[in-house]
Amino acid sequence: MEKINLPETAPSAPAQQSRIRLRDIALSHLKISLSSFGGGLSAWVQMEIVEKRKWLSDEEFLNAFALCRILPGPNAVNLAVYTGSRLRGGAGVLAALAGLTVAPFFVVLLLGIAYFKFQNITVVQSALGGMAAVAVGMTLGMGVKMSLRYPFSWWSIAIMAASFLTIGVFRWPLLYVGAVLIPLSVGLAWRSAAKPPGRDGAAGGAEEKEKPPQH
Amino acid sequence: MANSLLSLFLFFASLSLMAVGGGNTIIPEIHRQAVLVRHWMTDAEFAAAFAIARAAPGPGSLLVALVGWKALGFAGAVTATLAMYAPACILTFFVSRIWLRFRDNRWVIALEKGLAPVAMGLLFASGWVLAEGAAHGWVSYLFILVTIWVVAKTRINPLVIMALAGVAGILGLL
Repeated sequence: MEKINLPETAPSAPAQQSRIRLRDIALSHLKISLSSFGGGLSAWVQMEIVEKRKWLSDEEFLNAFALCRILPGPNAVNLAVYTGSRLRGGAGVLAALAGLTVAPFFVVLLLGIAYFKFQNITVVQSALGGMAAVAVGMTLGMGVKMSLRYPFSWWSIAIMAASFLTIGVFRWPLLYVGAVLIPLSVGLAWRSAAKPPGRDGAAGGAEEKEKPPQH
Repeated sequence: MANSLLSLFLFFASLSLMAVGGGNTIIPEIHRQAVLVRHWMTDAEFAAAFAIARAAPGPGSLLVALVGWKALGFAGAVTATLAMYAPACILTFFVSRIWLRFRDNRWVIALEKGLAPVAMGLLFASGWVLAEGAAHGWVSYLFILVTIWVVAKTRINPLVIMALAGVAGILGLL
């Protein structure tokens, strides 16, 4: 009697797999929001959404990250909107936003009120201050980890370096840098994709013949 | 009360779409309005609120919750937070729908391939900028290096390092 039920599970399995539960979206964002001491939320998003849940690929995460940096508004919140929207549409957005913002809203409010009342939360402040260094390490570590997996070619290394130097070191406005760098990078990606062999132009020595970008 | 909640809402909602490049770009304007123009809080309180929202878990943009609290209590905190997030979230939602709809288009595929290296540079830039406010002395550099190794090369939960850094912070080591 028990064995007759076996074939029935097969057809429904893919449908179940493609439908990610709203509760899981909310819970994973709650976890992100309560882990991210000292900022660096995107590193926690990458760990939870890409590494652990495998809801987004490396490349899609990077794209969403860039998109959310360019769009106005808080980046981490925009990223949750993208993820929710990608996974479950409007309902997914609400689940992700609820998970990301409600609990920290109360944490920040309680800490803030304690400060306004007593003007002294030195212990909490110095603990949180120490954690900020780890948040820096998390963001950089995520960059290192993704770079190790990324199929670099000469032009993508140059674009990455230019993006880091202009935004990070020189502090030029993202809008202007993006307006130059993104079309340039897309053009180069378009050219290397148009070449017949080796779809993504990964480590191919034969594809390194393009002209260097003219600045 | 309702009237001032509305003006609070309109203030933060108008700032939401001006936060091009992230929440930090509108901090000076929030400071100007909250401290200098509307006198919701003192300079020192604003600085503390900024530090708390930044260091506490969750989005640093929750600074606006504390500004709203000082202006109009709990209702103010909720209103400021909703106003800060709603316009940007709605915009991002519609852009993401369009983006996802044309995912198989040849140009969008090229756009995605081209965006990835820019995004990776932005990641390193974020870390670089964050380091300016967070790294003082060799202990914090050590923590940064150990965390990079833990994240990039191991499966250790970074919360372990986070706890150690919290203890080191309390002991005044960094």
